[in-house]
Amino acid sequence: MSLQTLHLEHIPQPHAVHIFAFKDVSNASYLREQLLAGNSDFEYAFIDASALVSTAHALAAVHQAVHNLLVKQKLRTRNVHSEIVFCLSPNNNITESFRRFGISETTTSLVCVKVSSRENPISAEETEIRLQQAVKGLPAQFNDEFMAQTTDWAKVAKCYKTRPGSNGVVTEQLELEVLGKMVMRAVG
Amino acid sequence: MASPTAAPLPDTPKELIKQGAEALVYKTTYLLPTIPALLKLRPRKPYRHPALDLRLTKHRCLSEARLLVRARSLGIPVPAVYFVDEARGEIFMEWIEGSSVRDILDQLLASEGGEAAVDRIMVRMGEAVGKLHAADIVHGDLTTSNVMVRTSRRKGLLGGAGEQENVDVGQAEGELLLIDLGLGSVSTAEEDKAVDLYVLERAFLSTHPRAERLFGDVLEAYQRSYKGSKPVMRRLQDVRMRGRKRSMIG
Ligand SMILES: Nc1ncnc2c1ncn2[C@@H]1O[C@H](COP(=O)(O)OP(=O)(O)O)[C@@H](O)[C@H]1O
Ligand SMILES: [Mg+2]
Repeated sequence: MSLQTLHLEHIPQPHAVHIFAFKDVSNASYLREQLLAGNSDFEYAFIDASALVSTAHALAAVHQAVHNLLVKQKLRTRNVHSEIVFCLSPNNNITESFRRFGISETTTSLVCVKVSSRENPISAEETEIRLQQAVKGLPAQFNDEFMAQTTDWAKVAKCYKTRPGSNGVVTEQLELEVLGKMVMRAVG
Repeated sequence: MASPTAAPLPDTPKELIKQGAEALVYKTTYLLPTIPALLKLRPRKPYRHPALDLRLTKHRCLSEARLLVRARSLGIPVPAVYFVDEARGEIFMEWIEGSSVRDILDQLLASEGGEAAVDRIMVRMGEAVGKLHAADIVHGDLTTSNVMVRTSRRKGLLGGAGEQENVDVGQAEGELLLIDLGLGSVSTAEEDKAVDLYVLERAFLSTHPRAERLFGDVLEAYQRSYKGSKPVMRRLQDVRMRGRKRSMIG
């Protein structure tokens, strides 16, 4: 099974984060339309994997969003799934964050996240079945190897204004620099 | 794979490593059990007015986090910030595997032939403080306890479990990091920077009496890595004079 279920450190129980990655996605514009239409059957964080440098990068945004939901109990966006996409952003422009980090018509590599909480519980099995039906693409492992393969360096540099010289390989330095930009947005 | 209806997991473990006047410091984890982290928690003070208390907690927490992020983005060696909840007074940051310069100096100065290693640490300390001041960041509590040497680092990316190998480095070779910016601020004032140096000098002389000559090495490296250091060095003379007078009276 390609789907992974995680329980994030320091996030109150019960909660679960189901994560699924796809490559060679062919119905991105359809998925995006469902999101825009607010179709609740498609309530996932659909992240364009090309903007991600590592698994920790994605998980940091998931952690911040689930923390906002369950601890702060205050979201900036419509639901915890849109909040995950927003939390990837280095600035407070919500529309821009969806455009840059969310699924677009040209997305081919996708990371899908579904949050299960006490209020909205959903099992890993059900999430997997639904995602397999919704997304037309090849299931992939959500790991750092996949992330590295799908990273678009020009896009990362543009989104995060990272220092030059890091092109081509993800280093811990680059990963921490990107995380720092995300924290900076959160602390203002 | 646990389903969300299964029995709740226990809270993430955290181990208290220091209880300071203002903050509780824990070793814990962030995101995954495999990613070590430091949690600095400023607890609520029940004797303060709740609204004032919340404002102070938020302010101090944000101030420390912002300074750390700013310093790091300028290439100054400080721990990376992972996550902040200012209302709860929490900062999660990179866990530095290592020891404080204070402890390392004690060991090295007590050992035969440790002087050369100490020299290298002094130089890097001067460079780090020089960089900090060149960026107009004042530390506010620059003691040898608030400078750490990383003696081991994980290889690979944060989340990349499996390839997490620790790479050990000698105490004198490890990367040096400035920690604890809780009393730090952004300042261009020579006075503030000179006081940083003075506090560090006092910390040196009081805990490592044999290290007097060594502080000269720190200052030398400081001046090399900070172009605008001349007025700060002049100011340091004044601060020392005032300090001496104060100790004669007091
Ligand atoms: N990022 C870190 N990684 C590992 N240990 C740390 C880190 N930050 C602090 N420590 C340890 O915790 C102690 C207290 O942290 P510090 O930030 O200096 O708090 P305080 O304000 O109470 O002095 C330090 O002296 C050091 O030993
Ligand atoms: Mg301290």
